[in-house]
Amino acid sequence: MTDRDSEPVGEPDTPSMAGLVMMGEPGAGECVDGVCAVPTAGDQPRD
Amino acid sequence: MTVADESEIKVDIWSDVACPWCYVGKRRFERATAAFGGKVLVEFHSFELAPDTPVDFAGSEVDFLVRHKRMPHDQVEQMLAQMTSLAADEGLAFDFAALQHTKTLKAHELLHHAKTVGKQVELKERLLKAYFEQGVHVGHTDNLVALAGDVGLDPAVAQQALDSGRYADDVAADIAQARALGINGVPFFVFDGRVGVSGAQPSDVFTDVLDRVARQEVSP
Repeated sequence: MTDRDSEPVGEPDTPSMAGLVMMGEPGAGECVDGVCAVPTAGDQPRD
Repeated sequence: MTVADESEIKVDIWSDVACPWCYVGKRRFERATAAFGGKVLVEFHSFELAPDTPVDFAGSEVDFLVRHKRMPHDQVEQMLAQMTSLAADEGLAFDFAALQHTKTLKAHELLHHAKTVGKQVELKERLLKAYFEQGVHVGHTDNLVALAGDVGLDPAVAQQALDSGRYADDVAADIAQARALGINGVPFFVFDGRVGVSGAQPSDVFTDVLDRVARQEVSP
């Protein structure tokens, strides 16, 4: 078990895109090409 | 992208008016900025999810997704019901039955005009509310001018801005910048030009990003 706050961010295994460090779950709650996929019941993001 | 002063975090948000996740994500992001407590400067950028949509699309949102995106009718109905429920969780009253699907280019032009007079954030909220909750056709100039007036913009100046098309190049530049960043979907958030967040993430994700960016913990 790791302490999330102490984990380095921006390390080589951190997802990146066009020079940006990407954070959060990829593709969560996104509209692409006019279609906005929604999670099925039971796997909706918690907030 | 404009430059924020050192004490505030600049967040560039690519989104469309006709994007339910963008409205949901806006609410979640706003909750995160309230929890964060620090200064956050927001700039919205244009992204057309369906640029081929006609201004006067004849049909409902269901019709659009079935006819243009070739999605099964039942799946669309279920998807919109789920989205309505998700929006309700954020205090939003989506009304897909009243929604008037349209091309959003002119709405984006108006957002660029609003930015020049410091009213972009207010207009973005007004446009999203009009589109998703009030069934307002946001592709028609007269409606856009009225919405501009609602947030304190001069209707005559807004009308002239839309009629002239003077902000069309700014819309195109935003979309080109999105492509350069590899953005295919919206909403998409860029924090201080170095951290990206894709989608309407839970608000605690946004708060975490704001905290880390403020502490200079994140570097490309």
